[in-house]
Amino acid sequence: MGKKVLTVDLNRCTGCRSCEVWCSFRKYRQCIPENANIRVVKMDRLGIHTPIFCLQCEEPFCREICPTHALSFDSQGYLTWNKERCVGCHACLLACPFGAIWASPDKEIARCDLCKGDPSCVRHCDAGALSYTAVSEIENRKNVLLAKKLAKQLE
Amino acid sequence: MFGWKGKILKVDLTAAAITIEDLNPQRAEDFLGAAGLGAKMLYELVPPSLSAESPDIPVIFGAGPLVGTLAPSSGRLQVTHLSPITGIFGDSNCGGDFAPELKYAGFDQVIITGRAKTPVYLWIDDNSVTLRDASRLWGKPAWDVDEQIKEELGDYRIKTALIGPAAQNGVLYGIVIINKYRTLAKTGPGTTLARKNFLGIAVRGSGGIPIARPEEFEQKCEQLRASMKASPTYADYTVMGTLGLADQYQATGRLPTKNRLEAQAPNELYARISNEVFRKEYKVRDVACFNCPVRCSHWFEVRKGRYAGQKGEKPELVALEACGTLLANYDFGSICFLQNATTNLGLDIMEFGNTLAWAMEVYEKGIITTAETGGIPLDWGNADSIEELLHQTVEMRGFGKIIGLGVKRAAQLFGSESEKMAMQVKGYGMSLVEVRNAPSWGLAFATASRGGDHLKALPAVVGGSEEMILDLFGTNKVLDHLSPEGKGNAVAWFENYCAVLDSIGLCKLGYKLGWVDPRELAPLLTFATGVDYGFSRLMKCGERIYNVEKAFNVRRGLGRKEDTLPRRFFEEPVKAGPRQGETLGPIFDRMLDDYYLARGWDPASGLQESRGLKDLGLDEVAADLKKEGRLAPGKMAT
Repeated sequence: MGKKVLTVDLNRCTGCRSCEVWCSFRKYRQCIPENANIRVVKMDRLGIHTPIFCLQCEEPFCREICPTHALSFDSQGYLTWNKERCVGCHACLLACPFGAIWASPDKEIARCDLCKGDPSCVRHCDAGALSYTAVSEIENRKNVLLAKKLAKQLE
Repeated sequence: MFGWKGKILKVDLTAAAITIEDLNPQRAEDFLGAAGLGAKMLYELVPPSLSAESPDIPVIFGAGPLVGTLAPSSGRLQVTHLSPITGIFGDSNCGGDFAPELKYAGFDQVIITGRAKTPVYLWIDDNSVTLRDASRLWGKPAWDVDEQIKEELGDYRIKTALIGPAAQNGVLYGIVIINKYRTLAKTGPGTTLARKNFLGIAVRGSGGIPIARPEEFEQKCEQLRASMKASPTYADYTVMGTLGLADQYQATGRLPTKNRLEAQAPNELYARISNEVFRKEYKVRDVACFNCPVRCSHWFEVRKGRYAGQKGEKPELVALEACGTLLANYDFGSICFLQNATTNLGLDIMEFGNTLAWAMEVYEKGIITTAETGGIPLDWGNADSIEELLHQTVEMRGFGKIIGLGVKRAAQLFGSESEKMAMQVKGYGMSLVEVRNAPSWGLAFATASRGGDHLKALPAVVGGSEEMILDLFGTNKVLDHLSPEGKGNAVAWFENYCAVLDSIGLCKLGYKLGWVDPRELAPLLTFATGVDYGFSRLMKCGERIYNVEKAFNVRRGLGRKEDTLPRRFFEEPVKAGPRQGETLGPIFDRMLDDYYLARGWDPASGLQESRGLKDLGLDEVAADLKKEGRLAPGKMAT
């Protein structure tokens, strides 16, 4: 089945930012979306809202550039961040092509760590936009939806 | 402090002075926040002698203690002012995510006073607050200004609350536009700000909201989310928002049509603007306000016809009525265009619709002709004329200068017969619920502190156990929609409940009685703030807040006479449809008497009594009213 990652259906994201506020609460026990590991970009002339989060690259630029190996793969193949090794240089912010790492208070970085396998954002996404799914299954739902639409034409 | 940020931002535009004051914790506890604090501040800052034309009127923005937290549907923003169109208590409340940003920047309230010499806007960047020149932005549509400000300040995440050209040109019902699509519309707060040369507020906040009892709060929020989502009508709201009520109203003969001459549209015409039409031809996807599971807004696109290309957040029930059925306009594309235009250019779609509906009725009856309208024909449903008048109204020219006054003042210009056709209460056009066959709604409209309104009470029970109903109302008669029994008590209860919601920062749509058990608000607020609230203490705060709003109006001369409705609802029974023959005539006075008794006010005069005010801790209010001779007369005046 392979690694599970966060994925989003852009047709379902409502821009409510529940993911941000619940993520921040899980981390800090206070409501501070500024320091969440997920951020929603709103394109308000198009009505499209896009949550941005670490995509768990197979060959991460952030890991490559980190001078202290604070970003590395754990035993199950998930990218993790080691606070003790981190010096707060923020080179990883520059390296990530999606900007999915943000600066955080002290020398922390905000980067999605998948909540140790039970992502809080997914649990609190009422619109069902966010899911936690195997990489190989990301396109499954969309494939099925398209197939259904095509089938309807032939009915 | 937990929940509250503990800071009030004061901006004196005349002196260009910005100060930050502490929020008094006792005051916060007693008045909760947002609407409650705003009402008390307005009462203290605005004496009865201050004219509604004065640029000295304060405008008070507020975000309640639960705004920006895990509590579902907690993005509400409040504004309180002396209304330039009604001359009495004015306020408005909206969604979006501006209010959370204000809390993250560190503020519970922002008070704007005085008048700037040239147009300015306020930039709140955490605790760095400055006034910036807005002369290049003045006169432009709000959506463009929103983008230009974000570009100028260099951050797409900035949230804005802006006025539009309509308010700047003098329309009396100018609105405040929040992040393009949500609005503070009722009672004309945009107009009050325009008179101060104040374009609006841009805010960015990087702070957070600490919670007093995090584990319990989290659990309560999960419980409330589950409760809302488990309700039978929840799914309908995620699909259609309040538009879903339009089909119901049409089917049950409760749809205001042609300035309330009818209560139901012709079926074959309604079919052009039905829920099915919206879902199949216009709806694209769901949109939600801050942390809200209801996602009752939706993105629309107009794909064909003369308004093809229009996109935005959809017209809700009120818009479908105000610019649709009320005007016998069954062109959905036109309604979408008007939704966008009124939002972007900054005027209240409902007051605009109400005024146009009056104009179309007096035109039909020959009281006005094309001579008065500058050649514009006002036959029912003429979408061309509606569009032309929208532009004229925004620019305050031609017949638009009359429409821009709002329905009461416009109607007054054309004589007493014309005034009878103005569907307004206390100077503001009525929201769009047919009241002749809905006693509690009729009563709610008549008693609402800001006039013309259903949201001060929103007296709807959509579910809930019999135990809950009996505990809250003492009787289950409140469930019998057509009976006047128990409605006085119910409306007073709902007004207190809505005052609580508007003050703590939660959305009335999400917290409908039956979707949640209102008694859960007490532990919710307690866990967030650390202040011990039982439900009766919380509802007493609501009662306190509502009595302040009432006293504000009483000092300006209002009494029982103003707690009424347009004659049409007493004297012209519903003409046709499932509820033909219904009228409020025989039952209204009795309901109003019951309401006053439930409130502890004198039924004859509609005035408050000293003992009740002191019981709520409003001793200074009681003293003011006594000095001005505005307490209830007779034995109650001790």
